[in-house]
Amino acid sequence: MKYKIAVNDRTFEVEINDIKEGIAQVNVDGRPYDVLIENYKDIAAGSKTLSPALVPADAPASGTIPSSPAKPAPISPKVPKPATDTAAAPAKPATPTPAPAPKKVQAAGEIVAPIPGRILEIKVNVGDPVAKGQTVATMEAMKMENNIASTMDGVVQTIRVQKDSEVATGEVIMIIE
Amino acid sequence: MDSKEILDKLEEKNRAAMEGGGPDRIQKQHDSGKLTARERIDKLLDDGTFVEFDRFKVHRCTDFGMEKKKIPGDGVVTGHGLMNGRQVFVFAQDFTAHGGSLSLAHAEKICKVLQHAMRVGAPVIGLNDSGGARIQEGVMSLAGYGDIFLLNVLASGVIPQISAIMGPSAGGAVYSPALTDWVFMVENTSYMFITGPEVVKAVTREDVTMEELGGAMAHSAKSGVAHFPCPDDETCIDKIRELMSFLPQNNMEDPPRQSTDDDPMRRQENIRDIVPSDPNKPYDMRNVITACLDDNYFFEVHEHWAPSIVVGFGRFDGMAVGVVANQPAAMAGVLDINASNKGARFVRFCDCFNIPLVIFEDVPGFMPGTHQEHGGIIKHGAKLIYAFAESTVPRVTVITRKAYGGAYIVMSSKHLRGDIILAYPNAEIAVMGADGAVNIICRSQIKKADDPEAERQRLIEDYREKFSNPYRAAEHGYIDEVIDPADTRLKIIQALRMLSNKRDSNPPKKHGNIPL
Repeated sequence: MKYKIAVNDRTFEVEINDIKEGIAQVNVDGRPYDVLIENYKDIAAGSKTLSPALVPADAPASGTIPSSPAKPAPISPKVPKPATDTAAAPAKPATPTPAPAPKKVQAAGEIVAPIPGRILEIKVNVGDPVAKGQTVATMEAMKMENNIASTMDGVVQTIRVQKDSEVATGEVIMIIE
Repeated sequence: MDSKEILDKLEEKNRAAMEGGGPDRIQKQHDSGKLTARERIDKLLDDGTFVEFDRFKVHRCTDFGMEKKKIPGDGVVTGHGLMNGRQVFVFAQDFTAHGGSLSLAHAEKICKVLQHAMRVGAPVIGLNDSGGARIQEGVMSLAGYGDIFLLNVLASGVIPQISAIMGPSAGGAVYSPALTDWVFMVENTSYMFITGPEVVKAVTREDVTMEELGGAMAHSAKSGVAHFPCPDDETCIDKIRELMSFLPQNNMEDPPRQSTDDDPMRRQENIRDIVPSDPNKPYDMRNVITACLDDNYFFEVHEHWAPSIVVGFGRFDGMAVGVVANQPAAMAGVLDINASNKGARFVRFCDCFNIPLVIFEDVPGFMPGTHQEHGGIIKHGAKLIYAFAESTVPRVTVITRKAYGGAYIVMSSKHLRGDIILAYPNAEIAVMGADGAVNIICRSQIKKADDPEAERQRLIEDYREKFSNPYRAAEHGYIDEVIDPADTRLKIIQALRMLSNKRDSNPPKKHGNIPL
């Protein structure tokens, strides 16, 4: 199912691929998130469970449904593979386009945490121009300050974390466009 | 036939061979931003020194009408020549002839070069630009690849082998470069992969372009397959020539020594300020490295991959060395899986070819986490220990700040036959940082105290006083000298000079069993 939703004048195309045990696999503008539905049990009777083959075993659970995609779950660097088990194959949802949509490994302009740790400081604001190599945030990891540098010239489009956020390896800190 | 006619015939044959796949295909090669095989060799070697082998060699395939399609040289230009006056062997695949595809005859030409090079002890440079196997030849083409792989392996550690990917390299063709010591790739015109984007999409549903999947930056930053991404053919060739200036001809020779005007006694007081005394502050270790090296020049290898360890070549008083350094500016300088592999491979290369190692150490430890543990950090980290421990080249270590835990042992410590270990006065050689150590060993003491937090702080200070300095290790002889950072260059040069006739060996064996 695809929805078009608008948050603060921005429209997102949201596609819900699968809901299993309260965790929904959602694509927002083509980017996958795992979303925990807190009142899942209350609405469980009405929801349907789709193919278990599409739920990656190591899919991390995350916070509540965000009002905007502000705090996504860590994106698994692996693309969820279809189960090799042939018995599971026919259980794929019969959507016209193959699901899950093919995804990019890492989009350009995504500034990700190179190492797990805690954000110490965000040094830029949304809308700020940044240069490639400029320190846009600092984080503490391995008891050391780490400078997070921009990977490209551009403008800060979204900041996904705040001071003291705990981030996992590969978690998106901000997006530069 | 008189002699004039005979010579005319030779000239005509030579002219035909020089044309490769013909002017149209050469034009196409140029239009796609690539040089031809012969142009590449001309730029790679000193002017007029190229001597060609097998210019007239052709394939022997008679299927699919191939007997009518013969191009002299069969898609690869091979031979030898001089590079900065030193003998090297070279092969360059010619994409204009049969798409550079590999027939058995084509492979035989490459094998001839490799065999000659091993016999005379000279490096081999392969310039790859090939559509892959000559499909019309079937298993004969595969046999050709196999023959090349075998010789790559036999030559490994005997002569330096360098591969430049200057066009496509897919399927089995990727493995010859992968077996060699150094892989250069040209951005936007070269790619390496086992299977292309179409197959990837069908199998894993990933939507990926050729450049993203196997381009120069993908392999330089993500997979670590390539050591040097280069913007174009010319830069690639220049970089190969530069790399070669640090390497000996073979495993029996020492690397070439260059004269230098840089004073070995040169003090570099700014190093005192480069390394922050606060152990939690990052700094760029490359600034320390370049401050010490001749002419402040560092030739970095694998610049974009596993950035928490820095490796590359430089010179001290004209002597070529390999530098291995933890990089506090990237991921706290932690040793993770990739950093361990990067370091170990580099150390082993230097050990193969008698290149002394200089290690700059500031390491908080190995990287924790399920991703690393399940990825095998234990076995990958073990490679770095293995590589340092088995190496017999001169090794000089400078501990600039932190040397914690297992990582202290790994980074060419005295315990792994490190020859000279130097430390800055603010170095901390300990099992772990003071905070962590106190929390473990004094847990009950802290709990019992009236003011646990004050007690903890007191104990941390106490631990720092006792262990967070280089003097404990120096008392045991694990550190040879505690030095003023400003004297780093001189101290390293003195150590390297002292070690220049070092002889050490390992017990006789077929080969060791490095944890792969």
